[in-house]
Amino acid sequence: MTSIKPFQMTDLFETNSVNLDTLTENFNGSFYSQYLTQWPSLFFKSVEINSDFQHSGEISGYMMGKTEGKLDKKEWHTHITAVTVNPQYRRLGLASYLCKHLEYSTSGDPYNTLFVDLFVKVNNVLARQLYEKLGYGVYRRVIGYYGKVMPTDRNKIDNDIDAFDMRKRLPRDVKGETVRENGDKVYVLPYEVVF
Amino acid sequence: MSDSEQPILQAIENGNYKIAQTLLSKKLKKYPNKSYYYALNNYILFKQGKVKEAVQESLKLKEKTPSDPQTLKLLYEILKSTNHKQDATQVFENAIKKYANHDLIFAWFELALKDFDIRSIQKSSMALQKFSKSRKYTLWAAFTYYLQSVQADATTVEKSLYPKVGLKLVETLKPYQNEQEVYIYVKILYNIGNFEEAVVSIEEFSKGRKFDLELQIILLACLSELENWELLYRYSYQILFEDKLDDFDTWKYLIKASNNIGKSEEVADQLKASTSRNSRLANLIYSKDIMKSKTSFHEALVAYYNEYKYKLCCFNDINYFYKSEPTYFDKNAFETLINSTSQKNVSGGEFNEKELNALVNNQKFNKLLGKTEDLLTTNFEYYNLFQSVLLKKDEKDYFAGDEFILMNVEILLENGVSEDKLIENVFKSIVILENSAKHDDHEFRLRLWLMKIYSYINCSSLVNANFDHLDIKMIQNDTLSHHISTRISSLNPNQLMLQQHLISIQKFYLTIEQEVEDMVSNGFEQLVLNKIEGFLEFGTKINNSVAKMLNLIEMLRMSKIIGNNQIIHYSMEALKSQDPLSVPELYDNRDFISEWKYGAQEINELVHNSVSIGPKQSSEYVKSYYLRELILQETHADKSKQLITKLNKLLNDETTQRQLTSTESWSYKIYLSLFKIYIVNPDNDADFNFLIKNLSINNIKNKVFKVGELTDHSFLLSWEVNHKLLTVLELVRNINLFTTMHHLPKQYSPKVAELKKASSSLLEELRDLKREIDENVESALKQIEKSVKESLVDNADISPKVIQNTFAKISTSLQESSLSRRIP
Repeated sequence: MTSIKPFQMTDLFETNSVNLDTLTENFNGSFYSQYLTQWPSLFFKSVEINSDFQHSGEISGYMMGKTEGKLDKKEWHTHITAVTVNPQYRRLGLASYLCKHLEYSTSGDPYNTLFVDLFVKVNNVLARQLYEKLGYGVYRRVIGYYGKVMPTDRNKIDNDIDAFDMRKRLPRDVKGETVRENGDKVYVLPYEVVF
Repeated sequence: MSDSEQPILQAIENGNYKIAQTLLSKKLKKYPNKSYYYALNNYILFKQGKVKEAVQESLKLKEKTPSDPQTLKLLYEILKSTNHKQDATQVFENAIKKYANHDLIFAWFELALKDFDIRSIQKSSMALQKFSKSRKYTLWAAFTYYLQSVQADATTVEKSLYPKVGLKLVETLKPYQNEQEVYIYVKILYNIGNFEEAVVSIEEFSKGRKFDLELQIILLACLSELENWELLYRYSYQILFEDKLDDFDTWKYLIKASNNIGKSEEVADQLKASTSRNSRLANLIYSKDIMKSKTSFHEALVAYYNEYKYKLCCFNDINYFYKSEPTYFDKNAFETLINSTSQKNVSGGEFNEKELNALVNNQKFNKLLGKTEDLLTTNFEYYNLFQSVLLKKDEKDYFAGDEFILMNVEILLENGVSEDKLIENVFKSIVILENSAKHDDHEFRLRLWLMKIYSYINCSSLVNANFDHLDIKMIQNDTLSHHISTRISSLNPNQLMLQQHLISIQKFYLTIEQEVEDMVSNGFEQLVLNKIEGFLEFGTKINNSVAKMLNLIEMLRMSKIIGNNQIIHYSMEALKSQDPLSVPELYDNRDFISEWKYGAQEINELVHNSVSIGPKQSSEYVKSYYLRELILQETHADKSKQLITKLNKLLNDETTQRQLTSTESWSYKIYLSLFKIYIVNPDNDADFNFLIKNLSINNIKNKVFKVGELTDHSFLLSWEVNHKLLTVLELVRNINLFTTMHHLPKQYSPKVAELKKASSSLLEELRDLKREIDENVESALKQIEKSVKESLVDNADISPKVIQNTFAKISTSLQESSLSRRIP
C-alpha cells in the first residue's frame, strides 16, 4: 500500500529500518537539508499505510535527486544521488517506482532535463540489472570512483572500486545525443566527471 | 563590537567573570553612555548566577529603549533565558518602533530563528515586510503568519486572524512565479477552508506542466473536501492511468469518487485489469467500501495473497486489514488458506527464496492468529531447511529466514519470564543470534537484538562491538545511541567508552546544532516554504532531545566515576547551557521500535520491560539528575534551598519515580537527607540517623540488594549487579565530595565525623562485596554455559563450537565489566 509523499527533514528520525541497511549511506544533516532546499520536489519518500507501532505511515524507501550540468554542453540532467528501500519492501518494484517518479518530475517544466544518470558499483550486478530494466545503459566506466585514493591510470580497472555511470535519455534529448552504446568500454577518471 | 572588547568577551567565555568585570568597569568609566557596556555587565551578572540582579538591570536598560543590535541581542538573551519571553520580544519591538532599520530587524529575525521561536520569527518577518515590501519579505511574512496560526500555543486571535492576514499578503504577489509561492497560497486557503479557490489556483499553475507532488496532494484533498466527485475522479484517473503513478492514496480517491458518480463498475474493471500490489489492495477497499460484502472482501484477500504471498510485504499489508477491519476479515477462512500454503511449501521440497518468503509470512500469520504451539520448533526447522538460500545470497542482500530466529528469540525470552528462567534463555538467545549473525553479517535486526541482550548481561564491550559494526552515525546518534549509553556509567564506566562513544556522540550534537541553524536560515533565504516547517521542527527536536541530555548526564557521571576533571567541567557547563529545567519540552527521538520490526510487528511489552536497562528515562529523570548535580556544586545556601525544594517536589511526582530504578530511587532519598542536614537543618537527628543507618553494609546488602540476590545467578549475570554496586559507589563519592566542600558549625563535628566514618567504612566493605560478587559471577557463568550447551545442541542444531566461542567472548567481556566495578 504505497503512496509517494514529499520528504521532510523530520523523516530522518523515522528512517532507521531503511538506513540501517548496509548498502544505504547515512549523510550528515547539511547534506540532506541541501537537497531539501535546492531540489525540494526531487527528494521524496514511499510510505506504507499501516497501523503498526502507532505509525501514521511507515517509510519504506526514498529518493534523493538533483539537477545539474549545462544545457549548451548537453549535460543538463537529473542525477539520482540515493534511492533505497526497506528490506521488507524489496522485490516489489518500489525502487523502479521511485526512479520513474523522478523521471516524471524532471522530464517537464520547470526542470526539463536531457537525461537521468546515476553511479553504480561495477560489482553491484543486481542494481545494474534493475537500472537496465528501467531503460538505463552504461555511459562510461569511472575508474576508482569508490576508492580511497585518487586514481591516475585510466586503464587500471578494479570491479570493487570502479563505478558505471549509467544514463537514460529523457524526451528532451530527441536525437539520443546524451547516451551511447558500449559505454562500459569507455574509461574515464573521476576528475573528468564534472558538470 | 570593537577589538578592545575582545579581552572582556574572552574572560566571560573562560568563566573569569571577575576579570571581565574589572575590564568592563574601566570601559564604563570612559563611556558612561554606551548601552552595550551596561548590557554586557548584566550578562556577566547572569553568567555568575546573579539572575535576579541581571534581570532587574536588564529591565531597567530595556526601558531606555536602546537601539544598538549588540545591546539588544544581549538583553534578549538574558531575558529569554530567564523566562521573561515577552520582555525579550519587547526589547526589539520597542527599538524598532523608535529607530526602525533593516539591520536591527534582521538581527531580531536571526535570533528568533536560532531559538526556533516561531512567534518572534513571525513578528520580525512582519516588521521586515513593513520596512521593505520586497517579494521575499512578503512571502516570509505570509508564511510565518500561517505558521504561527497552526502552532499548538497559538492564541484564538492568531488562529483565526493570522491566516487571513497571511492570505492578504500573499495575494498581493499574484501571478505566482513558482510552486513554492503557489504552495503557501493554497496551504493557507486549505487551512481556512477555501478549497474551491485552492483548486482553481493549482489547476491554473499546473496547466501545461507536470503536477508538483505537494500541490497534487493538496489538490486531491481539496476536491475530496468539496465533494467534487467528477473532478476528483478525473484527476485520480489521470494520475493513475495517464501519468502512470500507481499511488495507493490516489486509488482510494478514485474508488470514493467513482461511487458518487455512478462509475464504480468502471473502477471494478480497472481493478480487475491491474495486478499491481496497490491495485490488489485497493480491491480490498473497493469490496469493503463499495460492495460492502464480506465474501467479496475475502475473495479480494485471496487474490492478493495468492499473488503476493512470496513477497515480504504480504504480512504487513494483510496485518493492516486484519487489525483495522475485524468485521470483514474472515479469520477462519484465512487460517485455512495459509495452512494449505505452508503444507505445500514444505512438502514441495523447493527451498528457494520465494518459498522461504511464503513460509516466513505464514509463520508471522500464525503468530498473529495466536497459533503459537509449534512455532518455536517449526521456526528452527524452517531456518535450517533454507540454509541453501542463505549460502547462495549476495553477502549484503537480505535473508528472510532470520525472521524465524528473531521470532524464536522473542518466544524464548517470553518463556524465560513466565517460567522464571529468563537469564538462561537470554544466554540461549545470544548464542542463537550470534550463530545467525555469523552467517548473515549485515542483518541489522540481529545486531540490534544482540545489543539489547548483551546490555542485559552487562557485556558492554560486546554491545559496543555490534554498535560499531552497524556503523551508526549522524542522526542515528540521536535515535539509536541509547543502545550503548543507557545508564552506562553505572554499568561499565571506562575511559574508552567515554572518549570513543559518549564524547563522539556529543560532538555530533554540536555539529548538528550549527547545521540546523544554517538549514533554517537557508530555507528562508531560498524560499523553500514547504520545507521550513520541517526544518524548524527538526531543529527543536534535536536541540531539545532527551537522548542529548541523557548523553551529557552519562558523560558527567562517568567522568566523575573515573576521575576525568576536564570532562566533568565540560559536561556540567554544557548541561547548564542547555538548562533542562527551563526547556518547555524535551523530545524523545529515540528509536525503540526498529528491533521489533519482524514477526507480528508488535512490541512485546513483557519481553521489552524484562530485558531493558531499567525503566525508560525521560525529562523528569534528566531534571532530577540535573538538580542533584546543581545542589552538589552550589555553595550559596539560599540557592541550594530553592533547588532542594524543586528536587523534593520532582521526586514526589509519580512520573519521576516511574523513571528510576529501585537503587536510584533509594539513592535520591539519601541525597535528600544529606542536603537537608547540610543546607536546611542540621539539628534534625532523624535525618542524620537515617543517613548513617543507610550507609551501613548490612543495609546495602539487605535494602539495595534484595535478600538472596548475591547468590542468585539470574541477578549476578545481569546488568543490575553493576548498576547497584556502582550507584552506591557514586553516592559514597558524592557524599565525600559534598562533605568536603560544605561545612557545618563546630557543634556538629561528632556527627560529621560519624558520617565520614560510615562512608569510608562502606567503601572498604564494598571492596569485599565486589570480590564476593566476582567469584559468584564466574561460577554462575560456568553453570549457565553447561545448561545452554545441553539445550541448544539438540533443539536448535547449533554446534558446540559456536556455543563455546560465544561463551568465551562473554567471559572476556564480563571480566572487563568486573574491572569497571573496581572500588578505588
